[in-house]
Amino acid sequence: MSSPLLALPSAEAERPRLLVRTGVLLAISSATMLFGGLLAAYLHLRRTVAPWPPEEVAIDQYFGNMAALTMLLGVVPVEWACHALRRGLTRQAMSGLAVAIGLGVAFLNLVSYSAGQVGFDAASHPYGLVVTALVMVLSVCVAVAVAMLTLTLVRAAGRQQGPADTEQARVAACWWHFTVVATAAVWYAVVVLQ
Amino acid sequence: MTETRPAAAGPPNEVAPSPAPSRGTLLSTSDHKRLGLAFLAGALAFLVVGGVVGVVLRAELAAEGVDVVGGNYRRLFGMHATVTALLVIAPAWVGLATHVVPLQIGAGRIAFPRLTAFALWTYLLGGGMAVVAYIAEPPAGFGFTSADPTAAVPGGASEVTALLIAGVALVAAAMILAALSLAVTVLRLRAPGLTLARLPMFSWASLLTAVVTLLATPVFLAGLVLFYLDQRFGGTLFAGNPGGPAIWQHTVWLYGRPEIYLLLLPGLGVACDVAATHAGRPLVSQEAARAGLTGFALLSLGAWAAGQGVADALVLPTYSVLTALVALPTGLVLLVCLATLATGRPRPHPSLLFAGGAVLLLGFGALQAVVAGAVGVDGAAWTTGHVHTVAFGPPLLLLAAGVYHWAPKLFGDQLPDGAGRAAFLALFGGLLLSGLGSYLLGYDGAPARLADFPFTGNGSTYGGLAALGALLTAAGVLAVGAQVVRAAAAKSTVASAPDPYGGLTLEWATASPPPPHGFDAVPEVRSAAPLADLRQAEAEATGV
Repeated sequence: MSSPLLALPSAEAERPRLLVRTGVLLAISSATMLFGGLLAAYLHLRRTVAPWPPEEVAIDQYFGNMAALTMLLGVVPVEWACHALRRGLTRQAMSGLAVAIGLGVAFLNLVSYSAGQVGFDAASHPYGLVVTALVMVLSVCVAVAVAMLTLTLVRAAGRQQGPADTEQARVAACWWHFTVVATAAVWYAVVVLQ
Repeated sequence: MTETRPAAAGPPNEVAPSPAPSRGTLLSTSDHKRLGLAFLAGALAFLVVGGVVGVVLRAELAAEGVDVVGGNYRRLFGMHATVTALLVIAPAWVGLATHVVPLQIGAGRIAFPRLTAFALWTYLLGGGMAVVAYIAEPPAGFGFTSADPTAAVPGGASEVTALLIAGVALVAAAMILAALSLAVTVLRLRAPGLTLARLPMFSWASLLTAVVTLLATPVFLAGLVLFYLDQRFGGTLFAGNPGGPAIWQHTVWLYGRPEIYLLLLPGLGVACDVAATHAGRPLVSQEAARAGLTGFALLSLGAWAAGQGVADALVLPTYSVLTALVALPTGLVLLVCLATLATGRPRPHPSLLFAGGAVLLLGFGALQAVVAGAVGVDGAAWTTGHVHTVAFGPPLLLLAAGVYHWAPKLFGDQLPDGAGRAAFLALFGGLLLSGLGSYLLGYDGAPARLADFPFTGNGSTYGGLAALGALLTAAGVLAVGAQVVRAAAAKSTVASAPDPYGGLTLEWATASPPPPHGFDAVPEVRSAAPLADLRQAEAEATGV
């Protein structure tokens, strides 16, 4: 018996859904708006309140530059891990992920340390409040990136990520790259534009 | 692009095996249908809370010298505004979309059920925190109806103020997460053949709403983060700082303007689907309706240009133009619906009444805007009427239209027609009277947000009219709520007809109520009306 008008070939492979990747791209657009709001508040203060930084505050460029550089350096091992996973090189992928996780933790440690060195806080000055909010949100984003990379590392170790499925790694990489851009924006606005 | 109906459609495609969502308890379920119903139940509960407070406020204003709430007027006003603006309509749309959209697109699931479940509980927790904050003691003047942020008290805010801000922030975060899950569902889980150009209008409107929510709500969240820190650490930003208020105004405005439009956008999608289904024919122009909805969403972002109430407005000259332009896509969508009904064979259904009532209210509000522009308005009470008539009334009626329309999928059976008509009369009449009373008070010069003020002219009559309207509205809400609760509690084990209306879109291809896995088989999709194609193919095959 023939079936004359079946529209879809039954043997067609199921198309990849890429649910998580689409979700993370949308999340990145939301997070961009969040940072945009906070950066706009910071720039508005610069225009209406006082020059940045306030007189009693000394911004140590070394800490800021090192923090931005630390995040930027992470791009290489993250991409290395994705590339290695695509080629089935699990050990190399795990190494890349471990290095990137280390750099993320180092960034969080550096931010935590330098926050205590700046000499002002949220209670002391409008700038202190807005910069605290910026750094706090950025730190949360980096912590999320570290968590995603750690999950990818565990899944790679368990052979759940490999040439057949690298979506988790790709998603973690996308989020990492977003945090690098966000860090660069905060770094440029707070550290460079003085 | 105009699609033509294929000569014949093939038999249903067996659904690709996908794991059935875990039903479990409500706490652990990943079934989008139960999550959607839970969102709707939460929104209904908050509507009752906000509505009761609104009726009490109206009673206070019914006549000069009446004292119902003592010194708590501003506290109750803030509670009413916060609860009804943030905790009712938008979460209810999320609930309806979470339940219906996966069925409309032929998916057996939502993209991220755990994320949606997390959003549900975050919303309920945040909303509960906001209500508790108002009940515990008056938060420090905080309200979303004010363009001026509350200056923190030296040394940090009261705990209830912090609780309120944290609660609202949680609700905002929940809306972002739920929107993310919905957007990915529509973008990635559509049935084969169901292109974006063939999406049912409610799904299309839900996608647009989700995208705008993902862009606008984070800005509001940024403002709330600053606000919380300011309150928590003693108020360096908003107290005595010349730049502070503008920051708050912009972050609230950037969210608030699109949010007002987003309350209506899914409703326009509902109106399209209701009109097409009950007219028994596809929309006269899918493209025009789709363009209208898209234009509406884009212009909601265009309204980011602020009005005169906001300091240092970014694009002030465009504000009025962009706001007025929203009437064009709205009118286009409504014209398409009317043309569809006029050229089809409409069957009476309560959902049509609710949708028609929403259109009438929108027209009434637009007329008042024209009148106010011509004669000038002295009293701020006019704004109260306009907010209730345009921003709250039509979305509420369209939400009711959606619930009545999709009741077979939501609850397993249709809601009773007679009771639905009675509820419509109460709800529509109440909103109309309440709006009319406030409009007339405004023309009479009455202020807003004051517990008591001297009436002039026919002020007491207008106040009484508005109070009567509020009571009728509350009765309508309770009537709809009672029918919904009764239907949900019935838990009928006997499935009713899958397609009681002769529907056109995929949700009518599955059982009522749908099984946990959504579909046993999804019909082949070759146009925007796959079920009409299927019926045509069956008619040709059987020679009927």
